[in-house]
Amino acid sequence: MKKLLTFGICIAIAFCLQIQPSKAQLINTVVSITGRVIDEITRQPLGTTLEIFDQSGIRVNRAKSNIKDGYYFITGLKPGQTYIIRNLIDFNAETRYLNHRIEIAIPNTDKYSEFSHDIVLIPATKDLQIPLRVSPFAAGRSKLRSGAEKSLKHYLETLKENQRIKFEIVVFPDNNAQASENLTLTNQRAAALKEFFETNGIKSDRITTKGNNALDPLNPPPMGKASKGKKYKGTIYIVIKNS
Amino acid sequence: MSKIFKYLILLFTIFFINANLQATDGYSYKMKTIGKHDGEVLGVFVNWNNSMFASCSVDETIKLWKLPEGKEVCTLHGHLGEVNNISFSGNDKWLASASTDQTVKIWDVASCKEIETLEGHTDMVIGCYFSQDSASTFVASTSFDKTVKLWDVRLGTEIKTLHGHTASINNVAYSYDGKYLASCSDDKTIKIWSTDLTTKTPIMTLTGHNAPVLTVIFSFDSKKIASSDQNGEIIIWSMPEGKMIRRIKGHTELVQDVSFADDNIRLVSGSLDKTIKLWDTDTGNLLFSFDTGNEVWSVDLVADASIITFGCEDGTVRMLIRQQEKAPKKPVKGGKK
Repeated sequence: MKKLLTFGICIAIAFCLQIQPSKAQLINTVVSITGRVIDEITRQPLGTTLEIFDQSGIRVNRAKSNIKDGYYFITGLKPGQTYIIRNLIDFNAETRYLNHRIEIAIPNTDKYSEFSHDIVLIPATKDLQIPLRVSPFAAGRSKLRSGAEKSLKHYLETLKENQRIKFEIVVFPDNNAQASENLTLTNQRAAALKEFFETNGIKSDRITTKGNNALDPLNPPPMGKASKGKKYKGTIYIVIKNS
Repeated sequence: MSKIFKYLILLFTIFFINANLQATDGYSYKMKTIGKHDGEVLGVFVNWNNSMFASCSVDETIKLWKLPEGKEVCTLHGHLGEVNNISFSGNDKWLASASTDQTVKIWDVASCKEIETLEGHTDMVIGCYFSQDSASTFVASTSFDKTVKLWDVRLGTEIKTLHGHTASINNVAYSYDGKYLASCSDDKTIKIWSTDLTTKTPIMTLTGHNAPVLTVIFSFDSKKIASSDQNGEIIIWSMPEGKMIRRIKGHTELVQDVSFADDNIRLVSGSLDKTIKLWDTDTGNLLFSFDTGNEVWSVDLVADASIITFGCEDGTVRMLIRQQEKAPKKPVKGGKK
């Protein structure tokens, strides 16, 4: 009987613990996200509409970024939850932007907090050259370096969200040493990137590739010694082939 | 003939001594190589109590070293790109690192383990600096995405993004009174920001450099800022006025790193011209110069300036150890602490 009572108490405690809401829920804590919406190429602020969804896909909020400074402010978000933010395409805008989707995990907190997150949108412009910010290759190598998938994630997600976009991967060499070797290397790098995108769900008929045997005329190596982070690597562009 | 021979021996002896112990006004140091990374050593940082320093490299690793002996403690793996900068927290418990993989990582110093990864920058992260208060709650970071970000380490999240620079931002520093952040950029300016969470525009912009500004640091009393640029020039600024006190044209190549001693007067600089120089920022006088024979990417000081730690282009981590102890005017602590 005593054992049964102890067992019952244990069950009751476990039940209480399970339904006990967190402190944040008890006091209905909300948090906000703020940041800027900017253009991937020009880095200029953008005025756009953002929609916020919870994990079950229900839209929970909508916000506009200020056209002058790109600032947006989304409030009423719950600590510990994950939200998805999408840009709403404005078909009347001078420059249209590709669909963009980001997932933001809100940390657990018991008091009102503002978190920051910038949103970078890629223009949906034919023949637009989008340079990869960080080279996914080590100098002289044609195999994707370890961890390259992280720096390519932004582009992969955008291409997944814009199924009708066809694009070309254009690769320039690291130097002007040997034209034939440069062409081989850049073709191999382009092929490695194509394989990465295909492996991660992009249809192969959306992707073409182009290697080059000479340096990128739009981005030549710096004169003199390069400071931290500026060691020259051949440019890689994703070029949008249809509008 | 024998006179000429003696003269030659004397000249040779002077030359030999000069190569090993370069002294100016009582500053004599001997160089020691303590270890090696597999590529340029982009950052060194001495902790608050001078018991340890860290180095980071293009080889994607960070190494911790014991002081004063310079013994390697451990190697931290986890970044997926060059590690461009590092900073110990004010309480010496954690280390922040900034990487080309677009992240900032926080490491536990005692266990040599990664604690968290801070993601949010949209280009490579070049600079990072821990707040130097005992709680060490915040880390500031700078990126080629032209933003400065402030992170809450406890929550593991980005709490403030600062816009204003018009080109890539190279480095950032926290003031020791916790009031300001300073960031420096390829736009040739330094911007001073408030650390309060609501102010998002710069308090002031310091102009005077004629080339991209590569690094910036506060003195320990937060009354001076030192900055260095691509042309090898160092500028000293007064705070909180933001006035230029002094220009020092001290190097023939870019100066990637500078660090104040705890007397708030002496400043050490390391350059790709292969030299390390110690300056009196009150007079602009050169106190000491050492030709390391290799491009210097990073430099820092320990207490009483008895050891200068630095990292080179060939991957070596080295120390300059003071040989002749002349009593300094007052006790000093040193480093980017």
